[in-house]
Amino acid sequence: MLSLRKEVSITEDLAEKLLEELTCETVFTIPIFGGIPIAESVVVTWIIMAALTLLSICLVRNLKVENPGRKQQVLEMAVGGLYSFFDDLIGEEGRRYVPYLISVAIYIGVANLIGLLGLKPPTKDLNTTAALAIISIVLIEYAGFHRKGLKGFIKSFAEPVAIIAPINILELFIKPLSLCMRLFGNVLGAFVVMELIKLLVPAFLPIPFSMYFDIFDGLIQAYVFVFLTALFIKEAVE
Amino acid sequence: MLRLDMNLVFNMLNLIVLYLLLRHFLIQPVMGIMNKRQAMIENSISNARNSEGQAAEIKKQYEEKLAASSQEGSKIIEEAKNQAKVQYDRILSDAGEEAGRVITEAQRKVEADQEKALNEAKAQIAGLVIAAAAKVVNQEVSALSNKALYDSFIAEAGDSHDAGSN
Repeated sequence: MLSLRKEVSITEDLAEKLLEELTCETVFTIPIFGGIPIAESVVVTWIIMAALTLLSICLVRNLKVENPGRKQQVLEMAVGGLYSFFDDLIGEEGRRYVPYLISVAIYIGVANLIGLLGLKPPTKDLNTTAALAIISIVLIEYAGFHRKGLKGFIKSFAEPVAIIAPINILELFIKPLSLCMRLFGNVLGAFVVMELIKLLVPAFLPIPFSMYFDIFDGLIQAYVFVFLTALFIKEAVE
Repeated sequence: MLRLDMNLVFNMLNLIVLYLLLRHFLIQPVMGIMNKRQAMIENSISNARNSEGQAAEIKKQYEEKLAASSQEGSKIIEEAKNQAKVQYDRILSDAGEEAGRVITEAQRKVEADQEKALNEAKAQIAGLVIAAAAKVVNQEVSALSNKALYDSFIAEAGDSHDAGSN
């Protein structure tokens, strides 16, 4: 009887801890318009932005056309690899959107991995993934609009046959929703599983799971997000 | 956990700013360098092609010149040979002529000498005859008339002798 109650209290304790970990705290509130709360994800994104920008400035210094150093070769391989990957995916029509895709890939990758540094991943906040998805769908539709003009853009909703136009319009909402929820759900799920494992067995066991859930899954989700965005843009500009 | 509020807008702004930052500080410089290198490589390849073509052109010209000069050389040699032959012939004929002239002159000189010797011999013989005749006749006559007399005598005697021998 006593042990049962103890177990119940442990479970409740666990749930409480998890909930605490999962909530996105408000770091501070801007005291205008009756107080604007700034969430943790926004602050962590600022940190990521600052870090990435500083890193870029440091890495990009002293680039040479001839006889590049080892650092430059690695940098070129990374950026050039990403560039050619998206370029192959998206085709010549969508070349102007490649920098955005590279930026998002880097951002989501870093955001998913920043949990390793003890910060809360911004992608665990629905606000962040929703923002990513909204910008992506706006870009996708803009790409179609830019390529085909207003008439072609409106016409593209009635393709391949007019009867599926409602489905095409629904896609406008389904695409970002699926992008948003996939990323959010994966990161949140991985985070919950990792927290459970850490609470149950704090030593050694989390290492292989962390390899998978924190690193592999995080990078895969970044890849999937930008891959799908690139596919949608290609579809839009075709 | 599942909250959507103003932070959505902040996150969107963050994303746009991050995109601009990364594009400006990372992607544009790196891709710019890579494109520049690409352009440089293409440039040097086309340069190499150009100079290769130029080299082939120069080689062709050189070979043409070489062929022309060897032709010219053989022409010059031919000409020189012809000239030499002409010269040789001329020298040879000159030498022949000279030799003929020398021989003719020598013959003439020999003939002249012979005649002179004959004349001298004639004169001496005439003197001897006069002396012999003076001794034979033993009388003094006018030297001049006698000499003429004996000359005609010798001439007649010679003529008859010549006629007799012929």
